Amino acid sequence: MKKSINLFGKTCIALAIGALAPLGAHAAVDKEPLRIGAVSSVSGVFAQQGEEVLRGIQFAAEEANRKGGVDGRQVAVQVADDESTPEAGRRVAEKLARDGNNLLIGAIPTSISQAISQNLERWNALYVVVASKGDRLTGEACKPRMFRTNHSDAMDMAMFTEWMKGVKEKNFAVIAADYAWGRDSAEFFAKQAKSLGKSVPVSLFPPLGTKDFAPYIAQIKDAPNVDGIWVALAGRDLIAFTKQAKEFGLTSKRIIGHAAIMDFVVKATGDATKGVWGNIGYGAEIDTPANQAFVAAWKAKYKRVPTENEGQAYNGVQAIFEGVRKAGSVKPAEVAAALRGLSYDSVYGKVSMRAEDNQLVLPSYIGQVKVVDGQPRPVIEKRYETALVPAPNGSCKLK
Amino acid sequence: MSYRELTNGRIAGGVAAALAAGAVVALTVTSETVLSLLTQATIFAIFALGVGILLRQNGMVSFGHAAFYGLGGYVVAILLERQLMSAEMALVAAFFGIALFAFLIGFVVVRVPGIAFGMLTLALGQMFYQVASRSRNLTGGADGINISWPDTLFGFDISLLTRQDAMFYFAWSGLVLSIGIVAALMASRFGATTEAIRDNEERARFIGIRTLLPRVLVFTLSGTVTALAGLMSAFQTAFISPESMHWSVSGTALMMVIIGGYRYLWGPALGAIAFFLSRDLVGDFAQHWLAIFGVALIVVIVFAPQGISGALARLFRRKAVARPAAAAVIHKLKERT
Repeated sequence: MKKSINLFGKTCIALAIGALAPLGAHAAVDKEPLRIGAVSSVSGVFAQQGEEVLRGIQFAAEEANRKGGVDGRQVAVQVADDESTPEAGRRVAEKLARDGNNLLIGAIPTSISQAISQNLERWNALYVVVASKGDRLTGEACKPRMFRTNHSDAMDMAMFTEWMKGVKEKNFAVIAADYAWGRDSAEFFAKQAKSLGKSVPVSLFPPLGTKDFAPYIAQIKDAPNVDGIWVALAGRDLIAFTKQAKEFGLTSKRIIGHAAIMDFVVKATGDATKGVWGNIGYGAEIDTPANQAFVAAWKAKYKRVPTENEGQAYNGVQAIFEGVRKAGSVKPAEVAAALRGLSYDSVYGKVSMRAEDNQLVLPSYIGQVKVVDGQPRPVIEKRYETALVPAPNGSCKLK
Repeated sequence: MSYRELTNGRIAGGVAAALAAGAVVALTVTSETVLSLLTQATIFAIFALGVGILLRQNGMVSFGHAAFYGLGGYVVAILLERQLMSAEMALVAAFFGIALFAFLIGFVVVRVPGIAFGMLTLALGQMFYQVASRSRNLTGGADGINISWPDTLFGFDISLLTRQDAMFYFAWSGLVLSIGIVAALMASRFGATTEAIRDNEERARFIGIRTLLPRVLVFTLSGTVTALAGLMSAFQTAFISPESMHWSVSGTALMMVIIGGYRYLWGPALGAIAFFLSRDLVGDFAQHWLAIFGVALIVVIVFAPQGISGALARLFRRKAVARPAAAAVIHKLKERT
């Protein structure tokens, strides 16, 4: 008896599969699938941001598959952990690419992106940068098969320069991490402030890994007339500083953070970041049809708006999709050729992939942390047109 | 035939056999993924060999060898970026430059005994890590630096040299020849001298051996072999960042040495290859890799304190106990005394 039911059941299933399969996914079956290799930080110091990036990539793939695929192809995502180091990033990216997941995307720091970019031809791969900001990726270290879809440091700086013109505070304190990025950021700010007739009476450079910021905060408070603070700290140091700045009542001054108001920082510091200004790479407020649709779909799944990293990762995957559609192929060389110089509609509106250096030209945003629906998060206050994006500096020589 | 000739003959035979075995692997394995994995494992095997030499011949544990490894990449990268010399010259200059550097600092560090030596090498290694992280103009800072290899190297087309099978064979030859050269050195009077110093420096001095120079030379050899690994890695990845100089990289190499065992020269290499292959095998569990490896390390230390190589050697020796190998050992002892 049991056996006969099984047999009947199996027959039914077989029939059902035979009947339904060609209907459900007929276009997606005969074409080679679009295989994304998502390499980001699951462990290590960048794990929080990596988690967001990977979520954004997965979401973009699921959404595309729900809509019948891209260029009639199924989208598949294979994830690998770069352990927050360039060595591991390069190793796992190679494995992903050699296994056929050769449309790579996702590392956080510039170092890992740079390590991945070096061997793309050899691995027959393409790589999209969605979070690394170092200028060299679209400068002297640019590669024909590497594309950046997020803002570079130079783009953020150009935006800050413009925005600073409308800032009324006169005397600034600078607190920046004592390594190359922090020093560069401080130097940039001092130059801009001077050209706008503002002064920088206090510059502090706490070493990486500082936990107690009380002595630095005291120096800022003791300086007469300081009414604004430029903050260029990273990771845990930034979180520690933000918390202590609130405790010591520094938040009454205008605080401008360079790459500071990211969701994981806001989450870790509660409302201590409230009112802090900073550059924002992506925000749910961006008012375009594509972004409204993305935010609505995201809200339906996660009951909240997407974060900066999630949005940037989603946007990066869309760039791959656009390249595949234009090329009508998933071969990395052909997708790269199609993507270069391509203009298309994105969550940021109309954008173009600049042919000179493979940098996506997109609007810039500045905003501050506000409480929305009872939760503090970065909210975009002002948008700057793409005319503000600095021209390539000529150091990128794409063959 | 003297014992030394006998040994050199055996070493030459071993090297030839290993080179042939590598050629077979390079020719028969078609998967580029596997070849790439083997290449990386082989490069780290050379690194572990460098660390192992120091431990085996000087009895010293270094926590700073990643500096030699990273220096290989950095020196070549900077020489090429500033266009100071041809790529061929840069490779040669980096190799001998680092060897000279190891020789000079060897005079300072090997004087320090035991745990202090470990701390001193740790400090030196971290010093390089910090310098590489901070000097943005020279090293690219935390972002690292690309190494732009020219289109031809030593008269060969770069696309031929960077073929994965060629790359593997290149690394494998480097490993086998390094082991061969070091083995020949260790079978010589130099090897016997350094072992005597390692076991009891005071007694060695009493019998008239100058003890400083041999120890410096072992340190130099160890640093140079590690630099070779760094150069090969620079060729394979075309990128170098401060992370390659971090003490945790030295620590990883040390773990490979302990897993593989350092009594035999091929032990550290075996440890490195086991490390890479098993990490690849655990696949998706790689996130917990260090926890898994930690357990393996404990098991090895408790049950096979001489590492995998020691355990293997014991296994084979038991089987071949009546073979004349024992006679050779006795002969060796006689010759030395």
